[in-house]
Amino acid sequence: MIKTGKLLILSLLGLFTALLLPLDLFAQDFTLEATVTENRIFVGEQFNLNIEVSGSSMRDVSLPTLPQLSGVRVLSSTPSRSTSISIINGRTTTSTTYSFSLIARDTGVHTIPPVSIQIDGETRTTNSIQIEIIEKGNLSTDGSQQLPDIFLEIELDDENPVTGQQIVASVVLYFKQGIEITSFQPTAGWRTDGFWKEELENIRQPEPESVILNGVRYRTATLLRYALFPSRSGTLTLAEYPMSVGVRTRPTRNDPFGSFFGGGVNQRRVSLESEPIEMEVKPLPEADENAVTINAVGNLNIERSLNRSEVVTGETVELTTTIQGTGNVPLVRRPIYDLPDGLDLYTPEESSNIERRGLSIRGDKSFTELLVPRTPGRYSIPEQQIAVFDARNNRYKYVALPAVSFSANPSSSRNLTATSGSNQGMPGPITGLAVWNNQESTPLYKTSLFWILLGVPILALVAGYLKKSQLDRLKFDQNYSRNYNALEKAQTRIDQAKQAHESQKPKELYNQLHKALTGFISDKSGLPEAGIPDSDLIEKVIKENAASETVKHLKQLLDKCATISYAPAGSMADQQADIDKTERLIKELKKLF
Amino acid sequence: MKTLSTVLLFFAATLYTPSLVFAQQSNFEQATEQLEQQNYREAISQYQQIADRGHHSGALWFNLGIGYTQLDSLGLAKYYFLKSSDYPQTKADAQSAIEYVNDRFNRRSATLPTLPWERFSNYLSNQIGTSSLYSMALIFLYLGLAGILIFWFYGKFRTYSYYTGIGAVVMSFLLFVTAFYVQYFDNRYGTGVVIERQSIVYQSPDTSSSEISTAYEGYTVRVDYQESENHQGWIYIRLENGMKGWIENQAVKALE
Repeated sequence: MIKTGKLLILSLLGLFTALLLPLDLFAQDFTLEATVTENRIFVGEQFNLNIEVSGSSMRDVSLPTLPQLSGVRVLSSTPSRSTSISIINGRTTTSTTYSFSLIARDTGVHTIPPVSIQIDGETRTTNSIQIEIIEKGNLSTDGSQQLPDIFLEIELDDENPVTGQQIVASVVLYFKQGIEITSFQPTAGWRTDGFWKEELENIRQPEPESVILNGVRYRTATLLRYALFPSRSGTLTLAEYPMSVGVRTRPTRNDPFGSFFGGGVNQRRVSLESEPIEMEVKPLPEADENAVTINAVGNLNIERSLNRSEVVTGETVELTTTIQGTGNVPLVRRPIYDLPDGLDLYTPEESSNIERRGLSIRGDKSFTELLVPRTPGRYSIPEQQIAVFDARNNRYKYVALPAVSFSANPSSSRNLTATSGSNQGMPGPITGLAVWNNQESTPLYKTSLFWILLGVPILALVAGYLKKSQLDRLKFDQNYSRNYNALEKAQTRIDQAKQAHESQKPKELYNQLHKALTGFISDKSGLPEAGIPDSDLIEKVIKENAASETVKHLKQLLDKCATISYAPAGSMADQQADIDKTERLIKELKKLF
Repeated sequence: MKTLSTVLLFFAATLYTPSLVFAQQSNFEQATEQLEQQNYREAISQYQQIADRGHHSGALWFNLGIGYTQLDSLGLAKYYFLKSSDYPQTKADAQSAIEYVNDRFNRRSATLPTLPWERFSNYLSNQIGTSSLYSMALIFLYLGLAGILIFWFYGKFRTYSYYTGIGAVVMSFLLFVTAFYVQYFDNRYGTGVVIERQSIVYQSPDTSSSEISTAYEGYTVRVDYQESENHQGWIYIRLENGMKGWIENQAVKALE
């Protein structure tokens, strides 16, 4: 059986508790935290346990009570107390810190149990803390001699990047206990050949941490950070990083974690240089041949758009490609697209916005290409893949840019003019009646007329020369002249013989026939014109291999001519026969000479 | 009947010839209308048809140049403007158009000054012409022949005719030699324009041979026809900077 009265009381109590709980929570707007200055401590080394109570108002806080601690010895059971008040954005925070000085005693891992403290009359406890106490003698004894008291190092987050990949180079300062850093100033001249360098904005002030190097406790602080982008592959060297640091050597180590920029006397400046770093930069792998490469490495988004979808010829269309994200934004190149013909391209505009906060460079970069269509029509810029290298996964990511297009309508001005738009200075088309040539003219030297005209004077010159030579020879060479004229002379004498025949003068007739024959033979043979006996002439003819018939007829005729003065002349018919015979003999003799 | 046929033939020829001239002029005007309407491709196609039918005109080449300029084919545009500049009616316009086109090329070749004998040859070829040189040589040859014949066969003007004849023959010889040289130069070499955006100039007619230079659109080159005739698909050229090499023939359009 359920007792309903008791249930009601319990319900009311729960409601009351629920109403009061927020108030209780609101009342607890403070934090309690226990920290140690070192987690790894040498045996015999002093360190501090800090109990910090902070909140929006001053509270009634009692001294913390230390529990039983193992492995360490408490130097003083009464802690030192410090209070600080800070006002941030109008909000006041009060902080009270109790600090116990402890000395490490036993090696091993020990736990500092929760520390109790009374706050506003209520007992609160801190979290427990684990510490490790180590033996000094186990560490290298000469390690401390190898490292200087203060030195600078460049630490890279990746020593084997690909071209274009961002790496973070941290400028880290190491300094021993007892040294206080009062200021630092990078010196110009850090050579980073082969890298694009951007200094990252460091929001917080450097906070020192404690590390043990070669058995020696150092404090370390990251002073600056740079984003580096290798611009080429191969072995690249980061030169020594120069820095000027203000230091103060502390005689005691009562407060090993004092102010990082603590002031004081005996301050001096030291110039430090990091060791140069050599790194091997891998080339970017080959991207798909259909994709456009723009040297993009990182986590980048790419978009492409046109500002107008319809223009008239001569107007400008802007094709904007935006690359944004984290990566080598400053090094990204303009993508080259397959643009259609008929567009005037003007110098692309480029703008970028880079953020250097945090550990990576991020931002956006825009390339705006100005396209001016010259002819009406539809212009389409095809889909394009852009290759972006993902260094984390060591592979390309392909961003597909969809095709974009626009229409160009004819401009209102119908005619192309010399002053219109992009055609300024260009003459307009030629209109009206054109002068036409239907065929190419044949070169003169290819025509037959040319060669005829060239040949005629040459032939005429040759003929003239020959004629001239002949005339000269006839004039000056008597033998040649007689030879040349022998036939003509013989014919003249035969003609005279014919006349004598007609006028019935037989003696004259045979005299002319005799002269014709002897003259022809002597002229042709180059013999004297007179005084040569007929027998000699006959001999000459025989020597010329004349036919015996010819010689016989010649001899008969010459004998007849020689004896006609003493013998009766023959009939008219005989005389005509002798004339004919003479003519035939002349023809026969002509063949011989 | 024969007379009637001759008359009819003459009449037909008289009617047909002007109709041909009218047709090409009409086509030209239609193409120009397309050009003015900014239908450049259509205009170019129509102009090309006129040229393919064997009709040539400075205005035709000039308007083709304008069409190609508008289509951003500046190499072809320059080629046609250069052709147009050979015609006296369009020479001035073509030269200013060439200047305009040259200004728009992204890359320009370094230019070596033309060699003196090349300049001389170009001057004779362009300003006088080989036909004129041959004609003058023939005239002097006949003059010389007359002088020599007079010297040989007529005693009256021997002294004058002798010197006149020899002088005229020597002059004729020099003119023939010059004309042959200019003709040889014209036949062997020609002017070409690079019409591709860029093309590699190789040391030998082989794409695997070493690269000498890169010729960009609009470069004016000297084409060596004689050297090129035995290499199908290749042209031997000399760039304006004096470098010589082989280029694939589709990259260059040679002026005929």
